[in-house]
Amino acid sequence: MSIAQRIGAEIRRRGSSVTVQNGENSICERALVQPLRRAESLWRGHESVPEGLLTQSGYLFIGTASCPLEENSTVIIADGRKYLVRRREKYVVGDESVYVRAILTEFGEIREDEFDEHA
Amino acid sequence: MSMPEDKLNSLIAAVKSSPDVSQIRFVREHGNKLAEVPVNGALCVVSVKSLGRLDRYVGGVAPSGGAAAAYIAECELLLYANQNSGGSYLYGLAVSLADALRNADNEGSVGKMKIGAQESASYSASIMRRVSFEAVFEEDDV
Repeated sequence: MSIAQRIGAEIRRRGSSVTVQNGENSICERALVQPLRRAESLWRGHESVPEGLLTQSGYLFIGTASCPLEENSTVIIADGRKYLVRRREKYVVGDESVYVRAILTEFGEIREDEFDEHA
Repeated sequence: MSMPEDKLNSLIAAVKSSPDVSQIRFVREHGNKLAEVPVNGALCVVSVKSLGRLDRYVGGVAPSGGAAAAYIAECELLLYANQNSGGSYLYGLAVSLADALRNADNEGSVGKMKIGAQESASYSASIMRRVSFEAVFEEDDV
């Protein structure tokens, strides 16, 4: 068994069920999603920006090498929460992709127009 | 709702009636909802940078019967588009928004207007331009 197969099997065994959405396509995978620890703090809350509340927390995603992730496009649903893939990279040993890891942020839903009632 | 806020709402509602800006969604600044990440299509945040009260007394002396309240507001329309949509799309949309604002100004309250340089809002995977303008909002009845 290759290293990719071993690690893939381990991710499938220990990971939780997630849904990976790419546009209209969605697949179910098993992956690890956990809060990203930063040196300055364990948890950072929300910051107010003109568009609304922006989460400062990041999440680490580790999935099998075949998991299709696109930056700023793929949405991950795990444990009822939605995340957006911000950065992703594949870990490669030799010519073999072993696993994929990504940094996720909280997904902000599409905002409704708030000035309709004044039309 | 205060008078200047009401006037601004009416102005934005008139802007929205222009077909050239029909794809833009307008939201209030610093709301308590999660920011849209990533930005889909075009999103405009209506912002009031500052608000000042104008004294409209003849000769600068307060009359006994009161005077019409007037406010001068520095407003910004923060126009966001997905970063994949490209700068020319955003620029065209900003010009359409400025035109729609000028056409919607039936009361002549909008003064100088400016479209700012394109900025990157990487946290929401978007690009942004500011359409800023000054407006004088006056009470309808004295």
